[in-house]
Amino acid sequence: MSRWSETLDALMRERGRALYGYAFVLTGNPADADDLLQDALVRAFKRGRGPENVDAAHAYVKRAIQTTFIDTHRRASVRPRRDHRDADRVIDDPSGASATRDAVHEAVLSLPPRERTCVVMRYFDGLASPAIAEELGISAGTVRGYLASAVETLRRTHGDFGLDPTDALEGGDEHVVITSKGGAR
Amino acid sequence: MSNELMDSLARQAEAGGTLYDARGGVDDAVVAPARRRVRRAHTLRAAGTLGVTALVLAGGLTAVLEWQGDRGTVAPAVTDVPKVDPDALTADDLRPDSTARTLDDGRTGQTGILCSMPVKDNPYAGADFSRADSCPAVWVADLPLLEVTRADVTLDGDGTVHIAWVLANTSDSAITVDEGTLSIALLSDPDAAMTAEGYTSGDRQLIATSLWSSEEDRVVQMEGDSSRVTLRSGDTIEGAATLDPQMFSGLGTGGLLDGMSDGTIEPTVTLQVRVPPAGDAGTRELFLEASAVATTTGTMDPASASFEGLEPRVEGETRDDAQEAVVCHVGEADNPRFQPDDGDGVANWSTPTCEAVWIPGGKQLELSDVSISEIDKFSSVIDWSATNVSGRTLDLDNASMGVSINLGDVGYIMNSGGTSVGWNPWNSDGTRHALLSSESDPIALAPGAELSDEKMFETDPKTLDAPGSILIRVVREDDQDGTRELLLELPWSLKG
Repeated sequence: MSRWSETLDALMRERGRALYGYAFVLTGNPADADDLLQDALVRAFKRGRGPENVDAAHAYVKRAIQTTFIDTHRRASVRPRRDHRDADRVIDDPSGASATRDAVHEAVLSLPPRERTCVVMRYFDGLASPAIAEELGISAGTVRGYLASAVETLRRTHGDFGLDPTDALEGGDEHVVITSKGGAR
Repeated sequence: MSNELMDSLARQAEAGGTLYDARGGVDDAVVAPARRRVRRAHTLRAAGTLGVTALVLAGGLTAVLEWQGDRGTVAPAVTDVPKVDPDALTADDLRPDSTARTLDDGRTGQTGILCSMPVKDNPYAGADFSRADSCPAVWVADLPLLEVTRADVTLDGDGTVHIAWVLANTSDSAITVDEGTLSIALLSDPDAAMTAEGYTSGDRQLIATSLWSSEEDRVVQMEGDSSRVTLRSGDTIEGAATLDPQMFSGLGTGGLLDGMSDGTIEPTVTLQVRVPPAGDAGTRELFLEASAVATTTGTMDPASASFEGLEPRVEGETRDDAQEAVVCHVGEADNPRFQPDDGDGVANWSTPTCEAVWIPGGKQLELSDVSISEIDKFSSVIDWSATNVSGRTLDLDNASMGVSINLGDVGYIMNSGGTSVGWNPWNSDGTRHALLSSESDPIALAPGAELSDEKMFETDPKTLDAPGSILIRVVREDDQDGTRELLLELPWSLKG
């Protein structure tokens, strides 16, 4: 078996669950998560001899998930649309935490791809704007613009239950950390 | 902090993980196809060691699989037949009586193609790649078994070709066929040997002058997911295919669209369908062929005067008396300028196959500066500027200025935000991949005025001395017509 193929096997054995979970967070459904993870694996492993080891492969595939998600949705004929609902159409006083989390995630899934990716990287990966910018190859100012727009949309559509615009733009870690848990950081 | 948002995302990730566990991983749905695609990319990367036919094939497949990312462009066939009848004819029944067929042997009957290959190379025996091959032509029976009973070709104004077809079992016997791998060819001169330049192929689609690669051999595509059905006597399979205008820029397609539009060419539609063996796939594969001459409905819209007087150009050619340019005959459906805005304020870019041309009359725009620098280990930036040397005002699109960096035979391509880095964008037939944006910002560039831009891309040390091009869209008087686009190409070489 070639080295890249062995690395791919090891990656999926050790980190497959986390990577799939990450793709699932971005896409919101299994079929799209399948496609996204497949495309990201191809991007990561068709280059030269492929990543050197599982950690490198994990970092590269995760980054490929982010960029592929944005690229794929650029091409898609049916694209997510910005959510123009107002907050009063959503539960004002959620009776259960579970319902709130579902509603929030539904709103996240309605964000345009770049905003959605930045939100996931900010609030799931815990990254600060400069680190997100470095990962996506865009400027920190652009990332802050996406985050500001996303937070504004989420607050407008789901009310203010803890979203802090200042924290969105200024908080988070400056460095990407890959752990064996994979998906979270 | 937003605990609700963080909790929600964490919960969604765990839900994905739980789903992953419940499925026992995603080996079949994700890892296996990814492994096949990686292996195919590596295989195509090595295609330079193969013969001319293989190179032509690799070019065609590469164009579709790696640049456009499309998978499967032939609409699923619709059948009125049951799945598999164990008593129906298989390749084991038909192959023993097959005899050699040549281009002009004057016989009639059921035509076929018989390929031989090691089991490890047989796509239907578990090999991880599809292939097109040139295999011996055979006669399978004295009378036709399968016939094309309908082949309607419709030509849109922008050059998109739609084909609707019906394949019928006109014999007295039930036949097992592999419906999932059925492929379609559109041919301009089917009864002559293929021209030396070859053919253009996509996923189970092929355009050429002919499928005869020699007096004895024919080209057959072996792609798709196997799906056996039984065609009883009188049963039919219906299907449809759409061929994008840019496919008609490739090898073996010269003059076909224009000929279909003005009625001087009546194309032949040929269907090739695999007849599987009774048992597992082995070292031989039999394909039946059926053809029909189609009458074309519809004509192409006339092209703008901007596209008149252009002269063909090939990779590496230089001229001082003409401007490098490309013509992208994309059709409005595949022109990002004419696709709905996705609302995120970010331009969408496509990488269509375009004809390389010269605009006679001297240079119009010349690069005055280009530099690539690494910002860090992840990101690099290219800065460039160009000067209008035409002596007149140039109408250009400030929002559609793409960057193409040619790393040669590297086996990968990274397209992002109007920058394309990786595999050689040139095909062997005077076509190349260009970059088109969904955004448009027309500017009038005065004589002597300068235009500049910068783009970020993923760091790759090979870009520092690689050749490349800036591709700038020309704004035309009929800019509202998205059928074709004209782009000025500004090549550079940083080597040395």
